Order: sequence, then C-alpha cells, then structure tokens
Amino acid sequence: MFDVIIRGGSIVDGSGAPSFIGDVAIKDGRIAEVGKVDGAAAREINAAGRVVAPGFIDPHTHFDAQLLWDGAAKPALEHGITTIVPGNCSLSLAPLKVEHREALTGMFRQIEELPPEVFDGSAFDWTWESFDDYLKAIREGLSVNVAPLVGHSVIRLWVMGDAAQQRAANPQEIQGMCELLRECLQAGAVGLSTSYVDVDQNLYPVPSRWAHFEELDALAAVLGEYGRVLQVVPEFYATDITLARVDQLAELSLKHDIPTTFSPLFDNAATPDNVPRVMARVHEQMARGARVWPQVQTRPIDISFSFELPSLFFAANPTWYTVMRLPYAERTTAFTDPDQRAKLVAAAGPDGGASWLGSLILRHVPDAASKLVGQSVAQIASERGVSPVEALIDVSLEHDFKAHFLAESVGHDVNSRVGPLLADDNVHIGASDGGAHIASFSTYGDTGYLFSEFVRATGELSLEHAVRKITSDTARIWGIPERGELAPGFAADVVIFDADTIARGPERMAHDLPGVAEGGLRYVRDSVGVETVLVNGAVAFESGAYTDAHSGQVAVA
Amino acid sequence: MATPSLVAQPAPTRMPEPVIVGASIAGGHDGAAELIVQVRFENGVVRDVAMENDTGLALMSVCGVHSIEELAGQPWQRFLEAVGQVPAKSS
Amino acid sequence: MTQPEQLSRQRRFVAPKPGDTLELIAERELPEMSVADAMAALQGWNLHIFLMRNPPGMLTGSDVVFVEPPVEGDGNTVFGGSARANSDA
Repeated sequence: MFDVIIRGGSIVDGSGAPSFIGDVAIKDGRIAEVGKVDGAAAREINAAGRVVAPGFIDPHTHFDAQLLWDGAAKPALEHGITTIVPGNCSLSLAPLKVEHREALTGMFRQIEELPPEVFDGSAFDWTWESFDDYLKAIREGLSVNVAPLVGHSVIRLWVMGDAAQQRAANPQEIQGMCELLRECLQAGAVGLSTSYVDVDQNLYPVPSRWAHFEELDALAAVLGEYGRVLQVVPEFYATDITLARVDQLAELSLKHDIPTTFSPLFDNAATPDNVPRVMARVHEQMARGARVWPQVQTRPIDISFSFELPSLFFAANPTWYTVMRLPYAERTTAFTDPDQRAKLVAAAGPDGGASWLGSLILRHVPDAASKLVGQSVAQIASERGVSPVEALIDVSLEHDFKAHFLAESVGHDVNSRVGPLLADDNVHIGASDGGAHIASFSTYGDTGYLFSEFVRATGELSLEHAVRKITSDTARIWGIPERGELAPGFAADVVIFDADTIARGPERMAHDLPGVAEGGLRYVRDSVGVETVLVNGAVAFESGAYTDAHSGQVAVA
Repeated sequence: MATPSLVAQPAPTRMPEPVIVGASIAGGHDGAAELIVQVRFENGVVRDVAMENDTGLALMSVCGVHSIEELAGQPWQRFLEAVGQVPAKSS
Repeated sequence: MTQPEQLSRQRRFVAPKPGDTLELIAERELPEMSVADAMAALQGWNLHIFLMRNPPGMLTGSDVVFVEPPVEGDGNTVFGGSARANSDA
C-alpha cells in the first residue's frame, strides 16, 4: 500500500531523459516506484495530460526572515519550487549574537526591503543565536525544503563585532570564523555566501567586503572539508572584474575541491560583451576542472521611476533631462506652464511619445485603489483621448509626482541571447532573488517564465532540458542529496503542471507582511499552470490553494 | 558648460589618458536605472564602467551635458569629480 | 583536461594585502613609475573603487585592483555575440 500514486502523467524525471507516460508511487515521503505501478494507495492523483516532474530548486533566495512566519515561502511553492536556498549574498539570520541583531537587520532591510517592524518581535520571536537554533526555529513550520547558506558577513560580525566593517581579520579571528563556519556546516548549512557589492542601511560595505583573500581562502578550506558550496555576488556590469572573480573562484575551487557559484550574470544591450567574455572564461576554467557556476536568471530586468526624484531614464532626452534636474517647485512649474509643457510634449517625439513612453506601466500611486494601476501609459492616454506623453505628465501631476512607472524588459530581455545562455551546460539557472527587493519588483515566477518563453515560445530548451536545469542539475551543483530526480529512493518532491500553460502570472501588490500596518507592501506573482505540488510526499499545494502540510525539511543535514 | 576643478592631475608621462567614448542606460539589479559609460583606455581598448543612478546624474552634471550622447570626449577625471558631487549616503 | 598554462591572458590584478592602500599598491606594483603617476594610473584603471563605493576611493579587503589597463583579446571566444575591443581606437 503506497501513500500516493500519481497516475498517467507525462513523466519528466529530471535526468534530461525523454518523457514517458507512467505512474509515480510514493511511500514514507520517498519515491517508491516510477513507471507502470501496480497496487493501491491511500490517495491517487490523476495526472493524465499533465507533466509530472521533480520539484524545482531555487538556488538564490532571501527567505531567511519570511520562513519564520511563512514556511511555504509564498508564493515560491505554488510555482513548483520545493527546495530553496536562503542565506545568499553574505547574509543569513544566524549565527547571530543578540547584540548584533540591529546591525544585521539593517543589512536585511536594505537588501530585502523588509520594513523594520518585521524585525521588532511582532512578526516572530528571536529564539536563537546559533545556526542550529535558527534551523530549529523554522523547522516545524516548513512547507518547503530549505538548503540554507550561512553568510560570511554574519560570521564576521559574530567574531569581530564592529571591527567586521573596519579592517582585516587577524589570524586568531580567521581561526574563529573557521570554527564557527564548521559548526554551521555540521548543523546543516549547504555552504557559505559572500558578497562584493552589498551594502548596509547606511550604504556602507557589508562585513564580507572587508575580508582579504587570505580570509576567504581559509574559509574555503573549511568548505572543502565538507565539499560544500561557496556563493558570491560579483560586481554588476563590470566584465573585467567579473573575470577576475571567476579566476579567484576557480583558484579556490581547484585548491579546496569545492563547487562555487556567482550570481547574477546579466545580458544587456548596454554591455553586449559581458556575457560572451565571462562565459569564455568560465568555459576555460571549467575545462581545467574548476567548478565556477554562473547563475543566470530567466526573467528580464525592468526599471521603475517617478517624477519625484531624478532618474537616468530620461538621460537620453536633453529637454526632459533638463527639466527633471530642476528643483521640485521649478519642475512642477515646467509641467504646468503651457509653453514649457508644449516643449516637453514636442520633445517626446512626433508620435506623442507613443514609442518612447507608451509601453510604460503605471505600477503604483499613493491611492492604492486607483483603477489606473496596472495600465500602460498608452491605455490611459487612449481612455483620456490625449497623447501618451500628456497622459504621463497628467497622471504624475495628479499624484504630486508620486506615481511610479515601470519600463518593462529593458535588460536581459533578448531571448535570442538569453536562451542559448540558459541552455549552456556551464550555466546554472537561478539568481531569482526570491524574497528580496520586495517593495520594488516581484522575484517570483522565474521557473514559469523559463517554460513559457524558452521552451514554448522560442524552443531554445526542450521540456526535459529545462526541467533538468532547475532540478537535478541544481541538486548536483549544490550537493543536495537525493533530490532533483524522480527516481526510487529520492525524496518525493513532485510538481504536476500543464506544459501548455505554465507561466508566471502578472505582477501584483500583496499586503501580507505580519506586524506591519495594513500588511505592508510586496510585489508578487501568482503561478499559472501549476496544479499540484508535493513536498516529501505530502500535498502542499493543489487546485490553487495551499494545504496545511508542513512536510518541508532541511535538505542538507 | 560647467568648469570642473580637477581632483587628480594628468600624468605627463602617459598620454593619452582614458577618455569617455560613449554611454547608455541599463536596468540595474535593483530596478533602478544605471549609467554604463564606455571608456577608451590609453592603449586603445574600450571597456564599460558602470555607475548607479545618482552617480550617473552627477557625472552628467560635472560634465555640463544634458544628454548621455554628449558625454563622449570627456576625460576620465570627470568620474572622480562626479563622486565628489553625490550627496553623502548615510542615514 | 586542459592545463593551467593554457588559460588565455587576462588583465593583471592584485588582491589587497592587510594594511594595503592604493598608494602602497602603486609603489609595489608599478615601481617603474613615480608614485604620483602610478596613483593616477591606478585611479584610471580602477574607477569601480570610486564609483560604486561609499565613501569613494575607500579600499576594502575584497577589492580587485587592476595593475594595468584593459588588455586586448582577452576572452574573445564568441558566445552569443562578439567581443568589442579597440572598436573605435
């Protein structure tokens, strides 16, 4: 008697092998059989016409705090993600001494944009200092599996206190960090994260950036004792520096026999050589036996701005740039004075700004109930019977310059370049940043976007290839055991989806942060086409709703 | 055009020095616009130099230009002047 | 497996040592130049230490410090596009 049998689905087992019609039987949280399954189960799920695949693994997230009140890391799980890696970019919530909470949460607020109220005790209780005790704090509520990184900045803070953001570590301090890292790895950390770009709430370099290479080398040696991962954030759009980072990581990988990954790597029209040059170096280093995995996100990059603060968005248009650089009162005058306004309208182009401004999306206004939110400037213009540039000006004036607009897909957006990159065997699909930048844009749905854009629309990846890239490849790179494939003995992390419709939903605002007035604000995306998600054999999401299952585990210990 | 004061003197023994040859706008990792400036170094090789929104705006200001297209031809020392113009970043 | 010496030439850089400043790196890495010239050169080659940094020019231990200008022809293997070196020199 099995616990669950998923019947008649198109099985894409995560190995990259061709799909086949079959059944998946689950017993005691593990895959028991795959193929034609005889026998009965306490529950059978009809998957005819649907894909049955291993649960997806998201290797770059910042759900460290959210897991304390939301063990499903919503909405990650409903997108088919059954394992997440929090603690990226040098920041985890443990190990953390009581006296360092304020300093660390300042870094979290800066990077994740979580409001301060979340950390003041109303959203969760601070019950830990050690990494092991943090895992105890989240373990019972987990609906998703967690393979947590420990942050270099946090380890540095524990050992050095305020000096962590002031100077090099001495040999005794480096030894202390190594011992602390060893404790975290023994407790279940999947590796160490560090960052070369992140800043705290004062925009001051986070502790990991003060570490000399000798310190990182010593910590990498500890990772080597356990075969665990080193994750880094390199400088963005700085190709020569990224190449140097690739060489540094390769040196550590070869010396200590560890996997390393850097994230993110972006493609962008403004830096067309970036990806070709970085990937050339990655291929060279991988050929030597180094493990240096660039993480590439599937989704394009957007830019958001308002008229309230100057933005480079207007820096290619001298008339607009000049007005946007004026003091607030003069700027207001420029948009209301008929003569100046006429010049601005003319400068937007003979099409009334349709090509430059028409596709902008109104994403936020102080009056959250405004029906305009979500509409394009072209739509608003059409409804009002004005040109797009006039609509943009009018809406901004109506909201005292506090209307925020979104320029969608302005980077990492050329499918003919991003598709081959994602398909490359030396590229690791990830870098979602789930749980970060919550008040700026949604970091969810990248897996759905992979299928909708690069499997269905462009055909750059086969279904099997795409599934492999976000399941068994990820588990192999990160050393996450017995996950990422539908094979007997593996954990029963399973996603059932419609290959014809799986996608990411539109970005929307959510107000669900605990302890924050009116729920705060974060941008999310609902899943499309994902029907059922099982975590360690328990149904965690089905028919558009989360269940009460809390079957998630720490996936490394 | 503004007349910026140099914060670093030209090195007489090395000519020519790095110079801006182009610029474009990119979407930053955090959803803000960034300025990507193409710099031709003294040996003729061109590389990108990235900066965040405020620094990019400051660069345009110290260069006295009103469009990124006008940045071409500006010397590399303008970058150092620009960072001196960015408001202090502490809260 | 390819041998290490088969790696293509990359732009030369150093990682700061504890106690390093840009001045010390300039003296150490560019001894053929006067300190003033060496400092000016390092500044021009390492604009990232000024542009994406608060305060500008503050050296941190994890920095990459280039000790030569960009080099032509590094990593030019084509991948979805062409490299752009010396395009308008």
